[in-house]
Amino acid sequence: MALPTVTKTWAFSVNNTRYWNGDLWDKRTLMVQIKNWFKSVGWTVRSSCNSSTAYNDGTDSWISAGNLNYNSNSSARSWLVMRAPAALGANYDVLLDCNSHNGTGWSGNPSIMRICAAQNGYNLNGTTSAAPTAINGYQTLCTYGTGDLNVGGLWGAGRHDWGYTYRWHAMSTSDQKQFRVIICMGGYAQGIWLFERLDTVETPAVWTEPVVACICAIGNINHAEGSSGYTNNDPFIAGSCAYSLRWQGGWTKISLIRGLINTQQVSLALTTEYIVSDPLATQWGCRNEITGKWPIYPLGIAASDTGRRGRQGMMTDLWLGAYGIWNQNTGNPQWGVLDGETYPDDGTRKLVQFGNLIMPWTGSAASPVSTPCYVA
Amino acid sequence: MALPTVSRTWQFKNNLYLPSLGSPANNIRKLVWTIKDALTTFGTNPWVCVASSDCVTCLRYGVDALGPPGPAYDLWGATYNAAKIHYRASDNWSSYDSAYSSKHSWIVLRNTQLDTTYDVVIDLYNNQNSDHNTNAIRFMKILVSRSFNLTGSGSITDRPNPNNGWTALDLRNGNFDNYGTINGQRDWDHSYRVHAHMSTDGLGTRVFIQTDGITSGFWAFERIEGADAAYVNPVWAVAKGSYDWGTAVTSYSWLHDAVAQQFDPYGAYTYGFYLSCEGLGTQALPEAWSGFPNEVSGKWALCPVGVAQAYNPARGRVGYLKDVWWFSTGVYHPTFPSDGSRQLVAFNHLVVPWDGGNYYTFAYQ
Repeated sequence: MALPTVTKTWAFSVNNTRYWNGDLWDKRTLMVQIKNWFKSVGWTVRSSCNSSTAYNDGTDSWISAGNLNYNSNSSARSWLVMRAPAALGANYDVLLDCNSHNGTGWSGNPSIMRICAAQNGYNLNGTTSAAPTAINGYQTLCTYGTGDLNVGGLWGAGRHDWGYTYRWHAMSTSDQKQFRVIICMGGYAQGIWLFERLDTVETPAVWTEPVVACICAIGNINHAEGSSGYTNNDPFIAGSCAYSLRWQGGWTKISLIRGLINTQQVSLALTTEYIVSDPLATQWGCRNEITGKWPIYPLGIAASDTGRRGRQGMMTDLWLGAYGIWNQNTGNPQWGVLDGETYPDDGTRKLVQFGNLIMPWTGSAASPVSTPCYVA
Repeated sequence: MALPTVSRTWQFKNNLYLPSLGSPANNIRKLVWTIKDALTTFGTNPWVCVASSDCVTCLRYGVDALGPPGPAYDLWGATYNAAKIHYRASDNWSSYDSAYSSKHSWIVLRNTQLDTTYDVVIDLYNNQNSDHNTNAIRFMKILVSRSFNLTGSGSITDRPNPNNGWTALDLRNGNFDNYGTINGQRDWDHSYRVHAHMSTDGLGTRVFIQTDGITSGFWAFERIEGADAAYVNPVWAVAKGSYDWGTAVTSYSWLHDAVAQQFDPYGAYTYGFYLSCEGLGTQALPEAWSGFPNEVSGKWALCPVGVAQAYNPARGRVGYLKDVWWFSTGVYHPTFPSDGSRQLVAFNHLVVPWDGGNYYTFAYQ
């Protein structure tokens, strides 16, 4: 299979590192860093709150980690609304809400961040104790109160009070229609933020504002062990939430991707080429045994809610590959393609793989994940 | 989803009606002759006969000086004659042809577009007599090879063998289940309807066999497109017949969820092929929402068909098939588009080009 063609011009901010500091500050600082990246690629802050003062005038009050104060719902806390460039959506807003009300993170630990998106934007009505409300109620993505979308501990064991060193990568297209953030730690891609406008939709193009969003974070850094001592707790493969970005058995977790199809909020899943009940890319975890090439498959996207069911379009510059497994006993790859490996294998690094997802890469930078957890 | 574009030019022999002749054995005789006749009489790049046996005589290209491959080697004849088509008497259907002992009819059809000498053998030979249940009897073999040895093998008692280094794939093996009468048991009497399609470039051949509204038999010999150069002239071959009443073979369960039959992409290897389809969850996409179109676009999903091998040491996607698409389950035999122009037609879960004419699924239509 030939290397797929990257259709867009991408800008990258990769190998950003937030070193371990031992507590929740790691995560707060990470959040500030990610927010600042969004601002650097055209997003603007519409309103914010640092728990002391609510600003509905475009002020960004999240200057440092100390401005992010968590609290339960209806209590004074921090939040921030940022608006996407118009190319993504005319009034597309994302809300970051330090709402730890819902204690459904890993092992009952509180979620520390509620992340929502509103396709028609948020009202400028936030207060210190209440985040803004979505205009017309169209809030298409929200981690709050939905177990699968809880940013449990914000990448890392689901524990809000556990700290880790993170390495994160962000990329966006020059036409400002696609935005991605990959968060890695412990040698694995642990989370993904994705706000993308579909360039290819099913015809007739009934879906007038084809924007999809995904916030996915693995909750358990302990890397639940698979059989034979291998670890598979990667956000894009079996046993974790991001696995369900596509093919998690049944329908229970495909709500990780959300969109608003003509006034109806829908859950979406990625589609790819299958045989039997699994994607071809993940059937064998090996190269094509005749051509010697790794599988790279295009990804479609389909909605699953009654009234909007069916394949709705294609993802842009996003593909599915064979995932890899570390041997935790040796610290060496057991098989497959591991997080951070690049394509083609001539060192030109045109594409990178995180979990099963393959996407454009810088062409130069290496070491996109941190040190593996399990080293002999 | 817009109506997909048909990329090959197809020749059609549709709605060939074969009323019951009163016995399963005679029905099958007429059925296999009809298929042979259809494949060898297409206007452009038809299959050509290179050898045959009618139990009395055996003719082989390269041995008998009858000119180039073609009708001269076809002892089954241009007109159906039951006396030319006999089963091996030692098989379970011996009562029908007991006078012929080990003699039996076979025919070799050649396609020079799929490969230099891509041959299919229809061999009315059977040495297994209890495949599905005690009353379901296999009645013939269908074999393919890139090179059968016509000069060194082949007689009125044995079909030709492949040349050295090549494999004769018995498509009956594995999931090829030409049990009984291609729909049920050997003693079930049916009428049939056959639809035979062949592309003018010779790279696509399909035969759909229907009884009582069900596509109970499906043969195909097709070039796999888009393959890496590591695959040499990859061909997908299938010959399936259902063994249960009401079981369609052009289905996800037979072709997508199970080995859809095999041919060696490079020579001496045989591997199972699956027909792939875009999917999610644990299903092919058109299976996920059975019986209704896309709720946003209002269009039915017609998904391209890929081909993948699943057996070590040849695992991986090979390529795709032209002009065939996966369709929704739960909807039977519609034509596309919905304006009555019948450009495409669904055989159960597979959609293929159609000639715009009527489409009869029940044998008695």
